[in-house]
Amino acid sequence: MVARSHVIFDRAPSALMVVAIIGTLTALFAATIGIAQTDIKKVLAYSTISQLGYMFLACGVAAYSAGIFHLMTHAFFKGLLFLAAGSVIHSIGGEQDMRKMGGLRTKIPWTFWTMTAATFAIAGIPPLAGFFSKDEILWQAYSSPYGSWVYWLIGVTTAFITSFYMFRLWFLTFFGEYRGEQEHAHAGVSASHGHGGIHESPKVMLVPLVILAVLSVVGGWPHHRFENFLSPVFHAGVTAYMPAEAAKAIAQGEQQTAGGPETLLMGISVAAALAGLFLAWLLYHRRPQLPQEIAQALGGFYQTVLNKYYVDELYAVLFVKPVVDGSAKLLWHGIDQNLIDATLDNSADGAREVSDTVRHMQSGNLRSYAGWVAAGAAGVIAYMVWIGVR
Amino acid sequence: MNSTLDSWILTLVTFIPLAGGILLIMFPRRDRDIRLFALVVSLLDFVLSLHLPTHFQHAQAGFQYEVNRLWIANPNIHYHMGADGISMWLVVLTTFLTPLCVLISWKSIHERVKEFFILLLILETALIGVFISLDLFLFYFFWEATLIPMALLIGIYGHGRRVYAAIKFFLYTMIASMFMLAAILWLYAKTGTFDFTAIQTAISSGQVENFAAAAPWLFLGFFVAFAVKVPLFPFHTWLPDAHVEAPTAGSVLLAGVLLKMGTYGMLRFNLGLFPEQSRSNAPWIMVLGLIGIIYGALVAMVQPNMKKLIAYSSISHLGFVVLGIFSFTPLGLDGATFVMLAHGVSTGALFMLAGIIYERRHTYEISDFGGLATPMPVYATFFSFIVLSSVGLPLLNGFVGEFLVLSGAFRARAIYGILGATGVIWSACYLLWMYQRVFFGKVKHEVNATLPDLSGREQAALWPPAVTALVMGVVPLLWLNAIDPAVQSVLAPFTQLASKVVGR
Amino acid sequence: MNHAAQVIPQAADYIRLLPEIVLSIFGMVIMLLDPLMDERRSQRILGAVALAGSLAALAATLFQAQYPGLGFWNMIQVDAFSVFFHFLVAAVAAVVILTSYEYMEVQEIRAGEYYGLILFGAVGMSLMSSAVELVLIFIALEISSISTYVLAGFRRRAAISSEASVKYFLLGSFATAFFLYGVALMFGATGSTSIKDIGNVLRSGQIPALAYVGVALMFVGLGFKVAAAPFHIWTPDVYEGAPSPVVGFMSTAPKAAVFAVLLRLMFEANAPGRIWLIWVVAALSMTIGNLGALVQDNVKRLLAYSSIAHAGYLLIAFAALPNNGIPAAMFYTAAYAAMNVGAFAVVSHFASAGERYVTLEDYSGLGSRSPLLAAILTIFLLSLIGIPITGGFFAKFYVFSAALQANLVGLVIIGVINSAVAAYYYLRVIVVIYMREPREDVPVSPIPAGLGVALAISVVATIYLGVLPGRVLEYAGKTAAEWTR
Repeated sequence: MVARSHVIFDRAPSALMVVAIIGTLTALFAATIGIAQTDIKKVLAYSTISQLGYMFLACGVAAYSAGIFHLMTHAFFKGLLFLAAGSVIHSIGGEQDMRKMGGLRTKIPWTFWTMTAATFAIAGIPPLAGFFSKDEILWQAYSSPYGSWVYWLIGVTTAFITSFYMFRLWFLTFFGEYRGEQEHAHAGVSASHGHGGIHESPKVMLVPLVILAVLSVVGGWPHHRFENFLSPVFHAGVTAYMPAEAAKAIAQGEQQTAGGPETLLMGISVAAALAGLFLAWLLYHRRPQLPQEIAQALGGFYQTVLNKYYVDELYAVLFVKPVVDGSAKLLWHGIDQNLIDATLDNSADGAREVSDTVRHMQSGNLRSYAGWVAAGAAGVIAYMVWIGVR
Repeated sequence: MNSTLDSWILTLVTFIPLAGGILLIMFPRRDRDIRLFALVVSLLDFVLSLHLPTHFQHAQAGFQYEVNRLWIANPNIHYHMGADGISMWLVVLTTFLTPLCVLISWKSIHERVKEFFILLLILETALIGVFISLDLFLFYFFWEATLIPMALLIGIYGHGRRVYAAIKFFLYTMIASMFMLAAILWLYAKTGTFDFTAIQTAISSGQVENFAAAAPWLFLGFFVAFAVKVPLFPFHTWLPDAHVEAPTAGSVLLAGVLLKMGTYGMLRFNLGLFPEQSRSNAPWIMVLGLIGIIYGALVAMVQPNMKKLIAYSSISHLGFVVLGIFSFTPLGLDGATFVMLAHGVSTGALFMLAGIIYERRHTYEISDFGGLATPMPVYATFFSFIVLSSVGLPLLNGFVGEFLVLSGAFRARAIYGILGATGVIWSACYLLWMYQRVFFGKVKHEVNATLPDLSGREQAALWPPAVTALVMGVVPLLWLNAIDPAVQSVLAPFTQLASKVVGR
Repeated sequence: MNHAAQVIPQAADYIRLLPEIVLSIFGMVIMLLDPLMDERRSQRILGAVALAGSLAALAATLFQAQYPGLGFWNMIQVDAFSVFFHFLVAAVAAVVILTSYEYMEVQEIRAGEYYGLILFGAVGMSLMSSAVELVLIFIALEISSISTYVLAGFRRRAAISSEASVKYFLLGSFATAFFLYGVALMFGATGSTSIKDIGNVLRSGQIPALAYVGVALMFVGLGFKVAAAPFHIWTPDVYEGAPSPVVGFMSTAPKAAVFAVLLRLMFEANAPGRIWLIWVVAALSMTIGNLGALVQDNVKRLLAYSSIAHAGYLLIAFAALPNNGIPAAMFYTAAYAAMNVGAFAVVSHFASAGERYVTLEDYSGLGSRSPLLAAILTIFLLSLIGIPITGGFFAKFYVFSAALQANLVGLVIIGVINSAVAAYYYLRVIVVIYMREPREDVPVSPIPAGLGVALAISVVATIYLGVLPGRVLEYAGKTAAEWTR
């Protein structure tokens, strides 16, 4: 949507900056959460948020086509990751906790290989799709007239973290010893099918995985053609509102092929990805007891990250509870029931009391009745005399 | 041939339900026959009413299908009926909802069935009459005539606190409409006629003596009666009680049609007869509408009773209508009318859905449910569809109306549009939260696990509103084609006013 | 006093007195027959005779209508106005007699005088509407009053009935004394007791102060009879104690007749200073009547307070201009008569032996035990509230319209608010009838033929006046035209 309404954003550089900042922070923030999650789908969920942050970052530096390109490649590998995760979960009878997985690469090879492709792609390792799109974003984050090295730095750090947690997932799920309950390995627990053992998913689930794996591998190769395809949409608008030299620089830059700074940055980002792979291998394959020790050393900080920085709880306290309580106590009970309805009921009671008073005029005593008649008559006569004499 | 039918059609559509009701009096007490007859009569009326939109002349301004006969010579009361784009669709809404009410009450009413359907049919006649009366006396006549059947329906066939709710409903609305009676009588005393168009012309051409002094009071007299009916904050407290205690069919007609009497009245009479007062009073009225939107939504959120929640959601939705009407923009009024129709369909269906679960579990408390999607998936699907239409999801009817209203309100004053837009968020909050608590997750109570899903009859009652909601959302022009010309003619005096007054 | 040379009444005079003569004859026949007949069979026959008498009076009225004009030395005037009221009184008498058939049997009252008194009372009431001479009005007033005093005490075995009768008699005589004194003062002020002459004097511009006092005193006396506040004080007790059909009679026919007198006084004689006087009395009546009724548990007392309130609504028309006030008032008396006599007919039937079942609780669940009776009562209650399709609606409507055309906005607002408030206590009855559990210990007997006819007439009249009020109103309008010429 941001890309589609780029005409508005192009005229508002401060709005673009807001988008970029939010995108960058989101990418970083969500990635850190992904490190600590134990549910395989939760990791992927926060990874999605993180990658979306990248796309926002791209739009925020007016690199709309880069953002859309990453959207496309992300669709390939993230879709594949989720489907493959589903296949994994299905194969072990419904378990989603990664701590209970392990050693599955020999048992579900097709799932393993397709998921590997996706993992490498999302980490940004060339020549898979994610590399091209993520790299383009990082380059634009640095070089665009709206960009800055800060964006790039945080982006690269996030790339490192992304690579780390994705490979952590990869190692935990497919390598090492199987840590699940024994029945999964032998008898088969899932209620939906009776046959036992960890088994590969049926073809109907595997075929899409393969298709997406192929796309994850080759999907990034037509990146130049993609840019040219989208440039008529974005180009004129983007350059129209930039300072003149910057526009010229872009125009020049497009004539050149990848120059010096770009290659350097590309190298750094690939290195970051590899570093993440290495760290994950170290912690989750080589010395599996290390993560536990690190977690304990970090103590509270680790707990915070594990609980997603308590954002949900914060929302509940800041927004949900005041609104709900306020509505219930102040609006519903306070105004509706105790003010408006009470007014009605009280006026009804008031009418009843007046009515009782009137009723008691009827004393039953004949002489008092005669008295009333006489009093009324006196009033009428007095009034008429007064008019008559006027 | 067509033109004779044209002049008779309104009379037919109005009085066929009444005739059916009177015939029912002679029926022996065989419940099945009674129900079938009521269904046939109401369906017949619906089919007849379809003549109205299909033969409507979009290009022609003013009222169509008019019939004007002298009823009483002194005072000068005419049997004058006519429909324009707005009232025509409201009539069709009424005839659309009534057969559905009959279907939904098939099993739930099992005592004094005959009286129930007689009252329902009489109510239908009165409701239709309100929308198409062009004689002020006739309008008041039908307006008052809706009170007794509704009060009896609530008071006899309702739930626990039904008597309190029925009396509250009756007295509240009756006292308010007394002020309207005084205003109508004043107008008659000064103009010698009850005819709407005649009075309108007399007022705008300045022929009514003492009008400038009396106008604010007249406006208020009409307005109070309508404001209580809408219901506009702070006159809304009768609605939650009436809805919760009413039987399902009563709630459907109450929310679907009765509330629209109020907004229709504002549109037709307050704007039509008193344009200057409408303009000068608009600011605080729009504020009340806004309060209704937000307040209604917030209170709806914390209701433990499903029906009360839907009742407060009605207050919220009709706040949109008032917002649209008093924005005095074509978009706003188009939207207001559309919301009236959309709300009638969606909220009517919501009450039907609530009634369906009540028939099974005899409770409306949300905490008694939970995880219902598992035993009743079809029901859950219908419910989600209607909830989304009520929330205002694009492609469904709620969105079109709300969008138009907000556009109009924004034009009137930006802050109104902005605040009103938050209402959309709140409505998503409370409706979706309710849906989640009732349907998602595990089945909370054992007894819910074996509930039967929708029967054929219940589905027959739910498919029409669901399909209508979709069609209204995808092709709203089918409705707006007739509504827009009517709106333009309602707004005509305002554009003249705007050119007279400099600034606002 | 101006009178013709002849001292012997002519045929024309008798024609102008025809309904009263007919009623008197039938009444006397009943009185004569009663001791001659066997007690057990006398009720039916005497009732039939009485019914025949009232129907004959109706016929006589219709006959008489073709001979409008003055009679008996200008003491009686037959015009559209008097025909209207004659018709009304005779019809109400007929309905009450029909209601009384069953009632007398159930209550075990064996006295033929009952029917005789009804007819004699009708004589007085009819005469009141055609009399145009103050002394004759007084005589007619007394005839009507004394008959009703006695009728009120007819349930001799119930103390409350005798109490009602005595109270009514004492207070009524007190009030009539006021009226008579007022007549005397009026004579002193204007030199005549003929309404026409008085009217001429009072229209001539110079109004003697004494006339004001005379009007005041007459108004006190008449106000008492129609139960207008502050002279209403007798109504709840008397209505509660008297036999229900008698209450039906008392609350409609003599009221209509006295209103006729008031109409003649106020409009034809052009009584001075009336507008604000009536304004206050009307407002008071409406308010006190409605407020008093809000918490009543006894149906008869509730209807008594309701009639005080309705007297208030009616009086509004008196403060308006003649050409719409008069027809409005006349229409109101007719509509009110129809709904009230019907309501009391239902109460008479339901009350059972000794009038045991007259509290609101006794009516619980009537809707399911006797749907027909409940529906009929509901129609009357709706008419009393003023819901469209019933005569009560148009009655209030005309009265309010008339007042607005005379710019009495404040009074109309009071009337409108009162109508809304009043809806509550009528609604209470409807609620009890339909929305409460039925009480098995209260007997519901089937509706006998006589009562059925009476109820049918009342219902038809109420709905007719609610759907096609035009003709009746037009007829009433003729009067206004004649008087304001």
